[in-house]
Amino acid sequence: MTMRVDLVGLTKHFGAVHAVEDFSLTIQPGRVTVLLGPSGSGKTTLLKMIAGVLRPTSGDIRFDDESVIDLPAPERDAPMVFHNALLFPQLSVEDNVGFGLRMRKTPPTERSRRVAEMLELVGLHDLRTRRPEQLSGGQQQRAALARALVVSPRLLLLDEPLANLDPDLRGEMRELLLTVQRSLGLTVLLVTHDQEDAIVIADHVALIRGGSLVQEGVVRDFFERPASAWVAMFFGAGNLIPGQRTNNEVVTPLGRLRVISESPAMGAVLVTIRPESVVLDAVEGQANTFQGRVVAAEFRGSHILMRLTAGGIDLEATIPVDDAKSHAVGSTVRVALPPEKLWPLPAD
Amino acid sequence: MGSRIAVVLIVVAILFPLVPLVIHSFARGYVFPQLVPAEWSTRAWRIVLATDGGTWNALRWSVVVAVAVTALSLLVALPAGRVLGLRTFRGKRVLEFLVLTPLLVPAVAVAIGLDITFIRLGLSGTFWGVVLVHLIPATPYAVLVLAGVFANYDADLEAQARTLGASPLNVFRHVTMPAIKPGLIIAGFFAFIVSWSQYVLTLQIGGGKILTLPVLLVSTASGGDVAITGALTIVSALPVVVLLGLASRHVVRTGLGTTGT
Repeated sequence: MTMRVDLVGLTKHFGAVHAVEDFSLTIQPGRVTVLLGPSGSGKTTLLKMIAGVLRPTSGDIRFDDESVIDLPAPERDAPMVFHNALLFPQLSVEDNVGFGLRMRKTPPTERSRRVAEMLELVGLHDLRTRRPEQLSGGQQQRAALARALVVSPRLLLLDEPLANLDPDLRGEMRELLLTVQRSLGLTVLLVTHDQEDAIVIADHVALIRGGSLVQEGVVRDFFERPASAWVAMFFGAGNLIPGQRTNNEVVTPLGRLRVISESPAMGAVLVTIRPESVVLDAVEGQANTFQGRVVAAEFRGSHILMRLTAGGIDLEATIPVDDAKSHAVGSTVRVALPPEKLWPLPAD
Repeated sequence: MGSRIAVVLIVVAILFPLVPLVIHSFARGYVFPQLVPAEWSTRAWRIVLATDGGTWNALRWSVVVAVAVTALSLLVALPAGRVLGLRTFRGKRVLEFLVLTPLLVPAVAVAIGLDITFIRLGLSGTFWGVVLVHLIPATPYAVLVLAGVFANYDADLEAQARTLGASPLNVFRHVTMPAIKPGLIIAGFFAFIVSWSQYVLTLQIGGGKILTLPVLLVSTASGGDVAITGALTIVSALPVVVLLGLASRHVVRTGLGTTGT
């Protein structure tokens, strides 16, 4: 039931617009792969091509090593859940969920049994006779998920299923998704522009920008070893320090910084460091220390975001809420950048 | 509540002009300044509804022609309205204008020009000739209505159904059709009444062989018998009033040009 999907050099042009360009990715069986990217980066176009409702300009899509390029959507067994649920307005919740089984000519008794099971799973059993317009956004989204799951798909395609939900509903829906995915061992490809979705749900993340794959891997890689300055910024790295690298040393406006990093970037580099890794009140003997000035302190609920300036460079650092008093705006502070937390990127 | 009052007003506005016709049709010697006729008679109705008279034949022609025009115009308007409503492309405005041009040119001008062509093609004086010429004013209305319907239609619903395993036929039956049905009914209604009320085109192309109700009505009216003309007018108007009543339920319920999505 679960299967591997290979995207091979997938390309889609709409006239002069290159929506997806030479995109290759393997979606592992039984795992949640998250396709992450800003809006307009070609995510939905990719999903539609995999579902079979949009034909690629070129490239191949393989389900378990078999090309499905010429397989029409109804036979791909890869239902898509759209961001706006798209329930059929004239059908009850129950009939919406049973739609796929009805199309497969599943006998009515088995159909109603499986629909009831699925409605139970997503917690909509009591609302089964309602019309879609009588459901809340979260309920509609759950009904749409149930409608896709009930056919026991080989591949589940989710297009921003959490985008239209309130924050508390998002958490609930994420949990439901994960529970269902784990218990059924489903292969899932989820599209989102929200990195938090990726952090919580993804086994594997593929970052897309302008229709091309930028980086793929586990979530941690994107934080700790971003492939480019853009990736670092997308994941909120915040700090980019220009410099010249030779081996384990980078000459920067902040002085000579020692780096302990596997990054191969040499010569002209941008050194990144996450705001939570920047150390304030550095002690004597620490590496990479310099004097900085506090420009602003912004309360962010769980932490304080400090904006600093040093050697003409703007830096961001986060500190615990309770430590804010010791760093008044305008005061100077001893900053340290731990060598193992610095990640040099090629400056281009 | 407000919409109910509106419906009542519309119905009154449509039915009120028919009242004098009903009076005329049952009157014998109804002259000014009588407020109501001095004498009543069913003479006109007996003549109009006589089984061997021309009324039934004309009614049959009108129905058959109008039904054929409705069906064919919808067949054209469905794909045309879909493209105009859903897609954006270069020259779309020009195309929209071209679709409407038949409504801007007087029917007589078109008919005289077409008559020659139709004679050459052997379509003059035939049923299909009349149907074809009625399509000219009928189709633009149908296209216009359906373009409005599709402008509010989310084609992703169809993609959704396909990924769930629906064949093209099932997509149309279970997704497209339910969504556009109210619009389809309104579009069909417009096409029907445009054909139903057509006089000039029917006479010009039908050449007196395809005698629909309007053709019969005009020749009767020129005969000068007000009672018979009144009765025949009621016979002509009644089917449209009934249809309007049926179709208006859809206009009120859904609002023209919006679907249930």
